[in-house]
Amino acid sequence: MSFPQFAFNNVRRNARAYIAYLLSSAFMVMIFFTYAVFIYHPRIAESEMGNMTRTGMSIATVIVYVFAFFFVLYSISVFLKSRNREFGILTILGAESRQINLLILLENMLIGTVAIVTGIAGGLLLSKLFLLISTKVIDMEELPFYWPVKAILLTTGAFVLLFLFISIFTLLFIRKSQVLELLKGSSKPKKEPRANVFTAMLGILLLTIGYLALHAKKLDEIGLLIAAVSGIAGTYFFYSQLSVWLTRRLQRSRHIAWKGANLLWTSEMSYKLKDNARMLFLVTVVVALACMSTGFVLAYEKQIRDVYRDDPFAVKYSSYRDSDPQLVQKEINYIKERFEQAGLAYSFIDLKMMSTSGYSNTIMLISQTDYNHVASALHIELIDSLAPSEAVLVQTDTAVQKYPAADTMELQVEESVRQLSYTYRENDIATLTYSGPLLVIPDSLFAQYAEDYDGHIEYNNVFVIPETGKLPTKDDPETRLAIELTNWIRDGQHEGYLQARAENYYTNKQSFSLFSFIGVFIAMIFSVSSASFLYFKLHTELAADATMYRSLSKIGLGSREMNISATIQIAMLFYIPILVASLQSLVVLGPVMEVMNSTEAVYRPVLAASAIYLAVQTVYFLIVRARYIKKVNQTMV
Amino acid sequence: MDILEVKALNKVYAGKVATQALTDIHLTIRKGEFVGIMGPSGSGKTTLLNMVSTIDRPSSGEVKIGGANPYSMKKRELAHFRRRQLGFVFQDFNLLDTLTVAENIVLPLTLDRRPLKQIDSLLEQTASKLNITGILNKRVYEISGGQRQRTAIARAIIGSPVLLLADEPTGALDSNSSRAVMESLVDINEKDGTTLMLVTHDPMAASYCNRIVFIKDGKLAAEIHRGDNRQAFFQKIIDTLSFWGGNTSELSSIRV
Repeated sequence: MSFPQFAFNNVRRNARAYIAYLLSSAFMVMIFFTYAVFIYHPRIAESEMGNMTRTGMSIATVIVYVFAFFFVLYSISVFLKSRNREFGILTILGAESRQINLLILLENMLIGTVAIVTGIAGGLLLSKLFLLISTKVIDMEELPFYWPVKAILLTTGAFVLLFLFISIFTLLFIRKSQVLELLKGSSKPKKEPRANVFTAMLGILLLTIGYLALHAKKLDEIGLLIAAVSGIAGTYFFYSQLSVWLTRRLQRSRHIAWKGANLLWTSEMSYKLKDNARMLFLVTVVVALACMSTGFVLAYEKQIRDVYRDDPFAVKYSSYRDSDPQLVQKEINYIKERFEQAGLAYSFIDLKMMSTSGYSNTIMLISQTDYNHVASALHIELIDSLAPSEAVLVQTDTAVQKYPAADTMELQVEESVRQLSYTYRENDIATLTYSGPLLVIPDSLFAQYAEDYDGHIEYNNVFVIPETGKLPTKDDPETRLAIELTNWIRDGQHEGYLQARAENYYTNKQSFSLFSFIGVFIAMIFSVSSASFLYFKLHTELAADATMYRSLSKIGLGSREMNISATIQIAMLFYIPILVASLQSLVVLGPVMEVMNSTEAVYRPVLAASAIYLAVQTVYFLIVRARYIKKVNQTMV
Repeated sequence: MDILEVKALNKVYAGKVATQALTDIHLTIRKGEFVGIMGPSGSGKTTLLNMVSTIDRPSSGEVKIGGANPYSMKKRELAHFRRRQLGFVFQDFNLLDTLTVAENIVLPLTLDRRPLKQIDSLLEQTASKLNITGILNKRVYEISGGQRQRTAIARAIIGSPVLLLADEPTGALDSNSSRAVMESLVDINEKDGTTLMLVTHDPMAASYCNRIVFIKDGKLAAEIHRGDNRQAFFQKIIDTLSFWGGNTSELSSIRV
């Protein structure tokens, strides 16, 4: 039997021991590959994306790879530790360390090859599934399946490198150990996890700096960078030091610890936290990123939805004083014709507005008659009559600046200044202006202004269609017409300017849905892989834990207490990262959205996103916990 | 009063080759006794201990501890029974590395949700009894084997069990530590009146008992009582062991 044969047989006959390691590696390959299939999808590559999206996707690739690296490194070190005895026996039998290294290298490359092949095969199926789902979930043109040569090459190359590097890296672990230590395996006691108070304080300090950088002043790029770096570093110290320190404190507080099963789980917990600190940290950062992007996506989607909902005008057509009235009329007729051909019932309103400046904002002026035309078409309360120096100020209900219910104002149009008393109303007619309020003035006043300052006049024509209460989809008549009209006005020379709300909504949603889909997809990947990571870890520790619980059951530990102790520990490992991550997302996303001029309340989407992760994680938690407890229960007497 | 009553106990391990581990064992231990169980490897003494310590079920026969039958109890009751009525000392200590010495000792009491004041006073009493007060805040891997075993004994007796079961408690210890551990056990037996059952290979450890029951091939073989002199008892143990341990028919077949 030659040496490579020995390595091969070792893997083949020990299949049961290798299978967990193999599966987790293959899983990581599969995820990376599926992601690569997406990035290199020809349709995505040629789609119109901003630089930011593209950068975001490459960052995500790197994160996936780093995650895969740690995952495999971690799996292999755990796996090798459980085989220390075997290496000890080989050493006693006179195997040179060179031969053992070669054995590990060969085994790893063998497993790596199998993992890459099965991972890519599984990834082909998975990506087909995801391409299918993507078209269903988001209202997007179908992404066809393609033969992902580039993705296969990238995945193979990346993971061959990864396995090679990790195999060499892990040899360093083995070489240090003495034969006796190898033979004894993991039976020697673990070192007590220690937390340094100063490093724990440093963690708090870093988190505080991150918080202050976000909230102290108006957020800029440097502030964001400081917050990101100190926040991530602080999170690391939170897990490696602060959490250990906290559980040690908890264990030392005898009032809490010396009661029921508390002593058991508090003492075990500090070990588990320290052991898993790096992994928990990684999961937290990733889940926080996912929460933030999901929250961002949800907030943005709500915003474009609200813009659509608040806009009662299906199509707005504006022209200016110097436009050719005949051509304008021709274009309006064309639009009317298109509406009729699309079978959409509409009411058409022709109105004039004037821009001015007054109060603190630019104000658009509209005559009482024109306002009442629009109001009656929209079934909004009319304005009965206005005295010569009376006016009504109208704003949408989402406007930031509020006005008193009744007040006086100074209306200035060029040199003419006039005192007006006004009452205040909120309704959607104000969406006629792009920003600022709408001021309804008496017809006589409007006519006078129009004569004196005709350069300020805007001619608006709005089309109102009956509300369906639904958001536009690809095949709605309104959406189709909106897209058609927008394309028509963009092509070639036209007298007026046209805006259609459905087109605006649909285009925004389209460009965003791809981004959001990829974001959600990555988040799902991490959710699944972090859970399997935890499962793998718990599975390898199960034997040691079972022995402990077995000996404790002899001195009267009931299965109920074991259940409590184990459940608390597993729950902490599963839920702490999510809680920390959603807290971080809330803290970070608030100021960021403020900078992006979003008025959207941010906590709701973030909570929605973390609720989704919580739900998914809970499913994993229940499965893992049930299996763990069942296994331990079997060993208890 | 009888603390332990074992009647007509049989244990068969089913399998491809069924093994009769214990055959018709009768054993009674009275309150305050210190009983040793001895026998060669594979004689069934650990099996007997497992039956008494409620870890394993007998195939037939009856085991009563303090008048109660542990095998008619539900799982949860059984856990409480072990926690409150029995104390265990193992050869490999079974202490938790993650806990300090004090925490290891009080673990059964915390599982029982006793008030902290009571735990503290019991811990203090027990620790001084076993002479481990100075190492209470040490971690298990920082102390010697003898100290570990005395910690395990402290854990076993802190709940004042009616029966203390010890399985080869000196098996992993050097002779000095063994002596200290056995003297602690005798102390507990004499001062507190705790009933003890000890399973051992070691004649030196066994010589601290009041009475020794010998088992061979799953059957009761002999029983000897200790007089006043431990040295003489030790010799008696050696003699009995060599008689029951050796192959007697071979010896007797020698004709002069």
